Amino acid sequence: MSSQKQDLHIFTDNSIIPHNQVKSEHLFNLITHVQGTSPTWLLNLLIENSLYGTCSINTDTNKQHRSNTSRSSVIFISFLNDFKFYASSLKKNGVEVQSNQSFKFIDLFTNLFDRVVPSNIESVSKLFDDLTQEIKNLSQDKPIIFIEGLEFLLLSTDISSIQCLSQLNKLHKLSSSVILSCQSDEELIDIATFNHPTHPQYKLHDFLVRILHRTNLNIALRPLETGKAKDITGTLSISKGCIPYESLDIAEKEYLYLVSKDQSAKLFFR
Amino acid sequence: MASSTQSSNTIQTSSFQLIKHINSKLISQDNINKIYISFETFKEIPQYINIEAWSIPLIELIKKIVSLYDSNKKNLILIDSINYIPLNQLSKFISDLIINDSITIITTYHTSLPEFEIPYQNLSRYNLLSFISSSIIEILPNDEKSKTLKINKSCKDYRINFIHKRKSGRINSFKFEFINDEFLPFVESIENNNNNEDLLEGLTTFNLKTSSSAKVIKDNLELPYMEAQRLQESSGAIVYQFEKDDDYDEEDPYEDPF
Repeated sequence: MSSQKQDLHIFTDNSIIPHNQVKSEHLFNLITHVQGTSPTWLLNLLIENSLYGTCSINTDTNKQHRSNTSRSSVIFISFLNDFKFYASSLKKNGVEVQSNQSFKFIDLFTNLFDRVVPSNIESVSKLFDDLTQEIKNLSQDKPIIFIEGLEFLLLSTDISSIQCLSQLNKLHKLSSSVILSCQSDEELIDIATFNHPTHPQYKLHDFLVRILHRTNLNIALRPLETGKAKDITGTLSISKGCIPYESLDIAEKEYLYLVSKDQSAKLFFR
Repeated sequence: MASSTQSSNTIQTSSFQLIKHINSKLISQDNINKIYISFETFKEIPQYINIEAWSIPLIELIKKIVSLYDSNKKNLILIDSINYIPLNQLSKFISDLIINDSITIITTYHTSLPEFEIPYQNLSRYNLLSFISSSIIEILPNDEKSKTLKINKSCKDYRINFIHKRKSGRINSFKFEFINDEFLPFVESIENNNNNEDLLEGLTTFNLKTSSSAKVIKDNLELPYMEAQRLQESSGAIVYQFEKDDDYDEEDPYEDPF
């Protein structure tokens, strides 16, 4: 897949989401963000790249030609947004997902607490068993699974980070790659004063560090350290995780990015 | 020898490469029954009996592992992360696994994970493991600067501290550097011991340096407290000589010149 035009490169072969080479590996990728650096634009971009191998960032026209056949199937699980939100933002990038067979959106935002009882760990386990079955029924092929806001489930129920991770493992096993987006605001992970296993700060800190020990790739979206700027929203850094990719090499890099009012993003080399 | 070896790592310096290195040495050895317990990874290791431990309750897991022991061979249990065993069950987990002398456990402990304090048991997981294990391999970043996680700083090369406790009680400690897939003995940087006088160069208009002849005299100079240390027999006598300027009131019963 030639991708010379795009500016965002995650791997040294200029690709963003690896395709066929890594089907045998169960990859785990983490996107961390803070308040003010929402990853929606990046998730849109990664969905587009997973489906079609294209990338509509830094291009003047957002109506790119889409081939009818998608590269791999994508399952998007969100605890923070509904389908409408992503359908419209993906449409802006020229990706039609309303009747797309390769794209499945699982909304765990709208009716989460109808399915999960916060004090009942079994209900969380059942939720993931149902998800596993749903994904198994959907595709023969190993899909790429996006999970947005899993920390919301962790913090709103009584499950521990270890229990949450073993639930996540159920989905991870079915997929070729999991892309998890998670908040990492300092206030949420500061354990200096709340060092107790039931405190949200402790739970999220523990959860994130455990995840960081199993990731292949880490992407961090951070605001500028020097303060707010009109022409830059933040920095996007790409770094290797603790477990290396076997078949590909990550191009560790840092970009500056700008998300404008119409939600279109631009990347700049740093 | 029944033993458990523990390697401790952080996010910056993962034990992945070290475990891979150990595996590459072990893979050809047929006289070892190898069992891999995975809590956080999915990749199966060839020639190992692979167990996905995250989906099994702890008691069943112990039973399952013990049932896989081969009494005619040495048994090696490799655990990808011991951080998934609750602290209050950790010592039981290890003692239940080491049932005889043929068993060795190699496990990784992630030191970057937070530990919470338990009021009745003021013992951290790391301390507990340090007491139990017969060898500890600490993985440290090779470059001091890479202690802060920055882009382009993921450590490929790292330093290890290898501590081995012998049965006699003697502890051996070694340091190695892992550079380009090879372990080399680590030599402490001597930069800090260099002559600090170079730092004074150009800072002042007068001379702060010590000449070599002055240094010899300085080294041979006997300081007063050296003399005091030889006063063993008098065992700490306070010698006070009353001088004319000292204001001593003979009528005051509480004032004692000695």
